[in-house]
Amino acid sequence: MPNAHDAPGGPMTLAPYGALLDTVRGLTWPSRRRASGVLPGAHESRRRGTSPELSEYRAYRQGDDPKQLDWKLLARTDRAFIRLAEERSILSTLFLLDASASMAFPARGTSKWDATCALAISLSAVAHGDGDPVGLVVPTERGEVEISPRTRRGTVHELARALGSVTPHGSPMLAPILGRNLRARRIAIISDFLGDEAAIRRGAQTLVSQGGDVCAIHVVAREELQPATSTGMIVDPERADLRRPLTPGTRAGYLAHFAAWREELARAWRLCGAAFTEVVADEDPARAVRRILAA
Amino acid sequence: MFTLAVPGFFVATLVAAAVVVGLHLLARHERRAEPLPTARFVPNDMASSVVRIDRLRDLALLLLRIAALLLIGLATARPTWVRRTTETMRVILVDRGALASSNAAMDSVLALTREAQSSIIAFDSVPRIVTLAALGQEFRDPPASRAVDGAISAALVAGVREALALLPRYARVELHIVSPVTRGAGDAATLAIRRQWPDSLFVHRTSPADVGMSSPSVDLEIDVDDPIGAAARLALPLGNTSGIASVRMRRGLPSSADSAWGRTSGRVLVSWPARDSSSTPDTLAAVATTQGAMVGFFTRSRTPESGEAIAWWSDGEVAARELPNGDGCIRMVGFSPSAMGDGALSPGMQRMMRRLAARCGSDVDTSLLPSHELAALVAPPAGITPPAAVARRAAARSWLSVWLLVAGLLMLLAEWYLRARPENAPGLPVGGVR
Repeated sequence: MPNAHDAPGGPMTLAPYGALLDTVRGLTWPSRRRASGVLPGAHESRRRGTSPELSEYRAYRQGDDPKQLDWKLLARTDRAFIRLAEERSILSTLFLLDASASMAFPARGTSKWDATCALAISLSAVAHGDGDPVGLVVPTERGEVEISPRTRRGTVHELARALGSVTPHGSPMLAPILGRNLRARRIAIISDFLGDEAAIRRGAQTLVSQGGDVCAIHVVAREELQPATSTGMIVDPERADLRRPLTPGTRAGYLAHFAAWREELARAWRLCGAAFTEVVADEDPARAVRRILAA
Repeated sequence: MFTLAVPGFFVATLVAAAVVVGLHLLARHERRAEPLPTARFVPNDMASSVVRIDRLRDLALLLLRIAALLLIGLATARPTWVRRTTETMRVILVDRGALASSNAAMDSVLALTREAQSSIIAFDSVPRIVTLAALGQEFRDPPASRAVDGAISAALVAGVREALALLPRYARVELHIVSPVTRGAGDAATLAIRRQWPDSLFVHRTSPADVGMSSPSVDLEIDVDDPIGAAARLALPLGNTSGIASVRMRRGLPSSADSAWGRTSGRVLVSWPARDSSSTPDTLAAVATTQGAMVGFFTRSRTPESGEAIAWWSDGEVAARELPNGDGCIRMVGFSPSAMGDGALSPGMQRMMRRLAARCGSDVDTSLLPSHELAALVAPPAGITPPAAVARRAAARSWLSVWLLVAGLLMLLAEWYLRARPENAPGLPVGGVR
């Protein structure tokens, strides 16, 4: 299985993303849920700790640390309460990227894969800047490209090199990845969801029910939103037998069906508890990142 | 009138166009599909409108391709557009040299010009286009003032050029020669020049001019068993004196009576070496004149030191000289052919005899061209068909080919543009798609 450490690495470096990374520097990616991590970090933790920041009072129970007793409150009320404070912890973030053949569309201009790489690198830089471990998994037909979440310096560069070794091809499945123990509490799925979307969503729903944070980023190409008005035959790059005529007559039907599907997709993902954002491939990546962070 | 220099190219183009049409009707196009990952959202409708639109575009492509093929094929076939009448044009080459008879020539020319339009070229050593009136005036001049013999080669050059220039404008162009057509009028280039004209040559042979001789005669005071006598009788038959001056041949030095006879204008006295029965041929050599050479055994004799040389040995020594004798001339010959063998009867010896019998001061062979040689001159050259030969010349300066080629290339450009436009992909198979 190709590994980011062993792979010779593609030619991709962070140089093309320099301006983008400068733009997103300073941004934070807060967790939508309380993190369950142990190590201190930037996200609100489920655990109550001993930090100075008062969170709540709780009645003293046998076994509690007497040092946490609020003596002033005891003196005033004759009742023993424990002073609890907010804890912050890290949120391990894993990026699950779709490298199927459809992600290579369009061939000219910014492809969906190019946008995916830009989003993954910029979001990983934001999360890494928050102190969170970041990693990625990219299933390909020749195996998986995986970098386990880590916080050390150069992690973002490692992610960029790993992405440089990937070429969208075939129809690798993302859903089986979600069924594994991913060692991450926040999963960012960047895909066009034209493959095993239902299975991915089910996996995501399971993660959410287990307390995880799922962020679904739907990448669409401008040419898919506004296909050419010329008459022509079109074919699914992942299914050669799926050929349809795109004519002025069928174009209206396509636009309606595609819009309805996208709407249903967004509703379904939000219903399962995930944050959902639609990004157009040729959109300014900095703006897209801000929308994702705000979702 | 529209003519093609190489019609075979156009025929090949028609075949190619038919093939293109056949391929177009037989081919079933499979649309070249563009990838679109969201193709599944396109309604799976029958695409009859696509078929209709693309069939129209396919028809436009087909017409452009055929038009390009035909235009380029026509250009390579070298077309020429000329305005032609249905009339016949005659180019008449009239010999006005010293040997041509004025009356006979004018009669022939008048007969020819009455029947068709004519362009008249009068020639002696230089051809000139003249009018009928000017030709008549020239022929009214006495023959002696026309001292230059006609040259058929020069006349043919001018005549063929004139005829080829007229050919595109007339339904038929004929080339006529009015001349005695003597041997001396032609040269080694005559046949080659004649072959430039692809059609037949019409020769109107006229009688030679009377050059002032009262009664041409050949007087041979040489025995029949003498090889010289035999050769002279063969080359200078008494019944055929056309073009030959009065000539007297003797063995030995001429007498005073012979000299007196030869003083009259137009008479030639030829003096051969005296015959010596004991002498044997002592020379195996060649003797040459301006009209040819002969090789054989000769008895060599001395020739006078003065006089114009008219024959030479192969070693450069003079073999015969011409000396003026009053208004005539004496030709002193320094060789005798051998009596052994038939060298005396050879064609070379006959040419020698005619040269020695030519009129004074001339080395032109004024004997008439034999019939078989005349037939070779008249017959059209093999391997060239008149329309193709003429069309090739005419098309050499035709700009129609260039314009047709440009138009064909523009058609190709339009076809490429129409085909390369994204909406102009080939049509769907009939019956829609899956």
